[in-house]
Amino acid sequence: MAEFLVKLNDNTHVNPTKDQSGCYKRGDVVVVMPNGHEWGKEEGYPKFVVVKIPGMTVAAGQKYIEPQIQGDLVGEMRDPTIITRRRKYNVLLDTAPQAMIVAARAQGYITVDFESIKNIIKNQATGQTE
Amino acid sequence: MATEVIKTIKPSGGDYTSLSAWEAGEQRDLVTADEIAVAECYAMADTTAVVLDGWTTSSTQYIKIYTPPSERHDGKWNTSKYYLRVNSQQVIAIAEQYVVIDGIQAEVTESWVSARSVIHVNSSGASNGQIDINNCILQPGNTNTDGGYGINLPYVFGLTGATVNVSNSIIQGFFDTGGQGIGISEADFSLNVYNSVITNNETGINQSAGTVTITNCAIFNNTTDVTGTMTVTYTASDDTISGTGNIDWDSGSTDWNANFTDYSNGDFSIKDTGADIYNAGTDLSGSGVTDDIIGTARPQSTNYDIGAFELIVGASGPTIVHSMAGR
Repeated sequence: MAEFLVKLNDNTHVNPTKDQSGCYKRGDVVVVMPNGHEWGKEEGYPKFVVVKIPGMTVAAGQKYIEPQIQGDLVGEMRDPTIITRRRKYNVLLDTAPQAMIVAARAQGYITVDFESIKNIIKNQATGQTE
Repeated sequence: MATEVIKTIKPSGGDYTSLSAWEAGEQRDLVTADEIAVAECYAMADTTAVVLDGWTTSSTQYIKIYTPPSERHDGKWNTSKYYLRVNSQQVIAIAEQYVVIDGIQAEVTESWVSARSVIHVNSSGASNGQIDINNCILQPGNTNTDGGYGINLPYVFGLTGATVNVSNSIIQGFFDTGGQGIGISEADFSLNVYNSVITNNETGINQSAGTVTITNCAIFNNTTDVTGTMTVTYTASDDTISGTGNIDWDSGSTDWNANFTDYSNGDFSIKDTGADIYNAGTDLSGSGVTDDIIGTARPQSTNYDIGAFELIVGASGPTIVHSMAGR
């Protein structure tokens, strides 16, 4: 099982370009750790929620902490060293099922299988959900 | 005076369990808050890449990532202390103006991309800023068809006037094709390398643009120690480099063995007072270098030693300073 540390609130910057490319946004997966990881005192509400996904390996979860890079959007010249968003994928927390939200508020984490969450994980470059 | 806000990165019982999560949780406008954001890193393996971006910093309100002395390497790569080991293109990417990285070990294990690097400054967000990299050990964690960089300062569209200072650091092992200890190819970077060891890379320091000053360094056992236009003084090399105070070693291990305690196993402490690099450097206190990679005050004799270590002569023990004052 992999555990995702997901940002709960938007970080912001006065420069719109830097805000988009440099600031973490609500729903970004920040790190992926193995099952049973002992999270730090700040790695929970109100900054983060932990999403535990049975059946997903940490290696498979690395995909969700990749940045969106120049070239991910159609028509861009590819340059993997230029980050255009902190994360290519975003968990659409505001569209999560009510039961998931209730559990997250009550426990500080949620446990959900990938099949149940994949339709709210969005590739921000393509606009498609998993 | 800005307030230091210190958060710990620990495997257990700390504020965060990775530097990446710290960055995500603490990212903010430090100027408005009048704060210095400090990540205090404790012994652990940290395996997630770190990008420093989305902040607002100034020369007095900045980002500081450091290890306290008890959690810090002893001048040699040490996995019982804090280290970053990241399978990503960049271990630490910096897109901010004012950043201090102090006492960190970091290695990159990415094996397929070109231009992998341990520390990478690739954003105009660093314009008119100052990045200090002190007391660090940077290396690749594996061999690769692309050698990569210890520190990469590439061409950056829109960058103006960023200074990168490297002191008391060891950058080693980027010996595969194209590997560079430090690469600089942007005209608006100014790179100063002080009292550091750069070894076992294909190219030690490669300048194709920008301003480079190298002082009190040991740059040796690279296929090519330095290329490009730069000012090199009080530096030992096994290539012939012109400049005041430079030491010209023979190519081969004789001089390396005579100068370092155990260079082949990553121990670059000075062997004894018979070493060429002992007492052979110049005073860099004006550039902020007042101790060595393990906190020994410089100088211990009349002059600074060359390289990352200052030799302590006699049995009185080191003077550990590791000052938290200033940056």
